[in-house]
Amino acid sequence: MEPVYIDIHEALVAQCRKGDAKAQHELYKLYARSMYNVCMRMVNHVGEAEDILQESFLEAFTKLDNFRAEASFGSWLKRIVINRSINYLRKRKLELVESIGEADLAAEMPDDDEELQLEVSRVHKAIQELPDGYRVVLTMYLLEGYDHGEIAEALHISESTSKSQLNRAKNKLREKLSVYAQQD
Amino acid sequence: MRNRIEEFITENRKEFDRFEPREELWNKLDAKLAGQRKQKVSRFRIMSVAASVAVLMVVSFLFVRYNHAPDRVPQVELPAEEQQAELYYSSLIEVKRSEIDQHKKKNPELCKEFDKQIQALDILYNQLKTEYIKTPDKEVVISAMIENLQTQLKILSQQLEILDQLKNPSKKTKTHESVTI
Repeated sequence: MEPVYIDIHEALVAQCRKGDAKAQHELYKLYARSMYNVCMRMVNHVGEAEDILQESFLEAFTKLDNFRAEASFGSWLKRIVINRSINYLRKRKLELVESIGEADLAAEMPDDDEELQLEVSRVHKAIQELPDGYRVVLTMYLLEGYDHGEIAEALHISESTSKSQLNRAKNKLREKLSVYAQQD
Repeated sequence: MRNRIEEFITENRKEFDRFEPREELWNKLDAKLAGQRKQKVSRFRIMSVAASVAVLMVVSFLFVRYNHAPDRVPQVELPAEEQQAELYYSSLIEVKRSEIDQHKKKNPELCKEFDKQIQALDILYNQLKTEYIKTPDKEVVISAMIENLQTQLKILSQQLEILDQLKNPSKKTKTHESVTI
């Protein structure tokens, strides 16, 4: 038997399609926090994150007819949020990912993380301090569940660039965490 | 190759949601959505009402034209049964129209537009009435007249629904706005 995907919020989404104000609020309450955090990780700026959050929900509610239940509403919404975030990053004209040679590919430092004290608050802080290009690729990969192919497509880079960018980001993260450890 | 940091982050994924969006964000979004809901409802509903008016006008026009209606409306004495029907429907129509009148202040232009629709049907009704005297086939005219009155009622109900729907979301938006300010 084919597995049938049931979105837990299917009924709510159906109500929203009809423009039901209450259902829209319910759906917003369910997803606002996690989506806001996606925005923050992507753009690292409160004002922009708030704008992206609102625009994304507005787009989602307006284009709800385009949403087919082949994905969950949450992952569909997250795509909107991430694409909008990338547009914001582009507007800032920041070089998202430097062009790097294939030689950088395997440049991950040896696994000497045993010493590192891992606490969410510390790691979170370190991620926030990463340069845009590093932070975006690292969080898309580790927290938003994108694979390298998807990251490459979203950022218009090659898959190998995405991979080496992730390695660099992890190295940088490790560096920051050991600096924090020394500061204790 | 997965290392400890990677594992730590993916395993604690949920806990990395450390920020809270401000409460006010919903109010702003809701205000924008309210505008959209209003547009969506009214555009669709007004079109459907306008369409039914148009259909009835075409039908009645063809009917009257085919039967060579005179220009002026004479006093028509309808048979008792039809008089009762006319009275019955007119009283219902009168009630609805006065209900719509109550929306006049808030939506003056829409009410005016609605009034035009009903007036157009009313004119057609009077033409049918004159037709009634001349035609030998009185049954057909009578049923067209009844249908006209029923359509007026139906359209009035739809107009009221639209006005009610416009009234509620706009009310809501206002309260939200005052909260924001």
